[in-house]
Amino acid sequence: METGKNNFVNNKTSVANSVNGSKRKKNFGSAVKTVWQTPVTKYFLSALVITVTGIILYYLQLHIGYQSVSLVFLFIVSLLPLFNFKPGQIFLAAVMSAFIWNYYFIPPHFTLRIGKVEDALMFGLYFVIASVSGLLISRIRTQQIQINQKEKKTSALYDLTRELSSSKSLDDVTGCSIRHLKETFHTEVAVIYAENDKKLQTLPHPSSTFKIDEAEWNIAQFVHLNSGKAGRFTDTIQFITPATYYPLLSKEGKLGVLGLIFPEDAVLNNDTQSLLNTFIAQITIAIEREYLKELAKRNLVIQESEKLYKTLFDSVSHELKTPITTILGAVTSLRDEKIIGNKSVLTRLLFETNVAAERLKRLVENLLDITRLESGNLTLKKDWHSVNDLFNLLINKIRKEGYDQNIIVSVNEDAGILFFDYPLIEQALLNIIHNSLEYTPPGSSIEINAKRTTEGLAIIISDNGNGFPEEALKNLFKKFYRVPGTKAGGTGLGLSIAKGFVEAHGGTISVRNRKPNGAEFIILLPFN
Amino acid sequence: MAIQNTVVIIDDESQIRKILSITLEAEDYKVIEASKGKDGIVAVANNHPQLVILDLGLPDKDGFSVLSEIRTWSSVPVIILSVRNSEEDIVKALDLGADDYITKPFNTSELLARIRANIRRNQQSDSEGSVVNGNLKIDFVKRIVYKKNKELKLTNTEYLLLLMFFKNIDRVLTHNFLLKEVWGPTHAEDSQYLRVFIGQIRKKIEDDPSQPKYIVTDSGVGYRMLAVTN
Repeated sequence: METGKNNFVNNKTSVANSVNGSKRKKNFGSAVKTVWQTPVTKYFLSALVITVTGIILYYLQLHIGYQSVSLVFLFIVSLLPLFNFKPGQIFLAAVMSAFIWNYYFIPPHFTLRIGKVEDALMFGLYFVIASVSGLLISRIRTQQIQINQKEKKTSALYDLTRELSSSKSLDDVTGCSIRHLKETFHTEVAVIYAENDKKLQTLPHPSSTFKIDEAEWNIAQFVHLNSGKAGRFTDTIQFITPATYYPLLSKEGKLGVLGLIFPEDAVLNNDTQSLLNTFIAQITIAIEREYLKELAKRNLVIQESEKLYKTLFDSVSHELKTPITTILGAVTSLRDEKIIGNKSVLTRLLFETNVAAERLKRLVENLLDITRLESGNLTLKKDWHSVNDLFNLLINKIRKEGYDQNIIVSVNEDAGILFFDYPLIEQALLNIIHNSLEYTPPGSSIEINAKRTTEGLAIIISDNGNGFPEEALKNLFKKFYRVPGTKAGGTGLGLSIAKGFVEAHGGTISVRNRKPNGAEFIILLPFN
Repeated sequence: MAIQNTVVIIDDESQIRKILSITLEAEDYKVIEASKGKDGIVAVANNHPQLVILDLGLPDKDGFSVLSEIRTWSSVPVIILSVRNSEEDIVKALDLGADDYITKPFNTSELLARIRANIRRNQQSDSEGSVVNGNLKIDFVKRIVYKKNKELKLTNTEYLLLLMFFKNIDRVLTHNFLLKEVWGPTHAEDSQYLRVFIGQIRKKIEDDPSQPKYIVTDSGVGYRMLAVTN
């Protein structure tokens, strides 16, 4: 009974020592230590200490008297627990010293017989005191070691939880967990997160300290599927892999698998196992927390993009439906004989159909343009073009569209030629001019000015309409932005496309309100 | 020359307004356009139109509030213009007192038919003793419905439902409206009653109940009795 308990305590200490002590001493001298620490050697050692003491005392007894010898023996026996001698070894020392004292020191010498009654009493008392004090001190010592171990475990756990709780991301949590596991249990660590409940990600987390090959991954995957540990120190697949795999299980589901490679000589007893379990539980909580955080973040992003999608969808579908409604309405009314017979009605229907078709065409072009800009592979096909030609053709196009505003164009005769992508710049200018035409009252004037400056071609498109509200000016070129309260029609894409095309040429575009009224767009296209 | 009917169009899209006025003017309607809800209400108040076409998505006020405001002082027929797949909005507008709806993009001849039906119904007097629709005839006084001059055996509820349809030929009637009128306000949500009774009525009045031509379903909105010509 006593011995069994001793062994258990012994085991505990040895592993805990090699694990905890190493935090400071690393593995220094562990081989020597292990030989010293084996129980058999310790029995010999305790016998040796008593024998040597006996020999020394034998020569000293003339000076100190045989009774003092017992005190010295008692002193030595009570010292033993301080050097990690166990109760059995101490008991051996007590018994041995008692008999050495009796045989060699208590008169008559060299017999186990004791002459005087008081010597017999002393022998009896010595034996009891030596055993009891040795054992008591040994027990205190063991308890102290246990307390130390507990403290170390608690502080290791405390360090882990503190650092985990201050970790800000999943990467942080993973890195911190791996570091602490490595320090406390002397293991190599790998973490593989779950792709879903059925499958792990192919690669372990990059901060993992050992490589996972296909065979190891399959074991980890097995652990993930079965939600039970496997590998070394377990009942499952213990001989194939040097590693032990633990599933990371939370209430929400399976988070992944933790792989540990313990040192070869490691012993995994109940205590270490329970500490490890606590570690894993803490790590799981931290990972789960970060998982949930990232999930929330991802949901937010999804919500935002859904909002954007809805805005886009609403505006585009409205923009598509209106001209389609017009065209369908016009076409289906042609079934009506009254309408077919009325030529002026037919002309008006035809005109409206044409306007609607133009609007559809412009919308489709805008959508294609913004897609080109968004995709990032807008390649410019630049060539030399006459600035005068550009504006002449542009104005002809616009005049055909039948707007009510006056369009005044003044392009300097010496505007010359410029190196640019003709369709893109034409589209940019058209978008700006259309914007002015759409949002200024009928009868307003739109002025288009172009002249060469030292840096490049400056184009100013100004109107005498109502201008923009102050807060709209800075948002005007943003995608899908529409000035609040403006009339129906339009996607909020035209100006952002214009900006994109101008900037693709290295140019700039800006807008400001004019005094007393109206707005002006200023475009600067550099010479090269 | 007949008296010209006036139609007020309330829609923020100028293109839609234009195409509507061109076709309606060609059909001898007088058209008044309004791009904002407020202007529309004023136009209805000032011109006493025979019909209003109202877009549900208006910039200043939504179509619903324009409709409710008009309904506080006028019973002019209102046709709602709405986009497809917005049955909820349509039902809401119909329950607020709109008379009919049409989804964009619309078919002009269908729209014209709706406009005619709604104007005609509004001008009908309630004093008529009977109405004929296709093979069917209802006698309001005797509370009897005939099919090909043969009396149909109807329960009281079936008769009340048919009465609603005959009084509103060509007009959509929402589930809510029918349930309230026939079963009373406490049953406004029990649309399964309605399904059962419509099924029974169809068996009695339709030649082929699986392909009804008198009482048709406006999915998600309600039922409509079509005007059938022999």
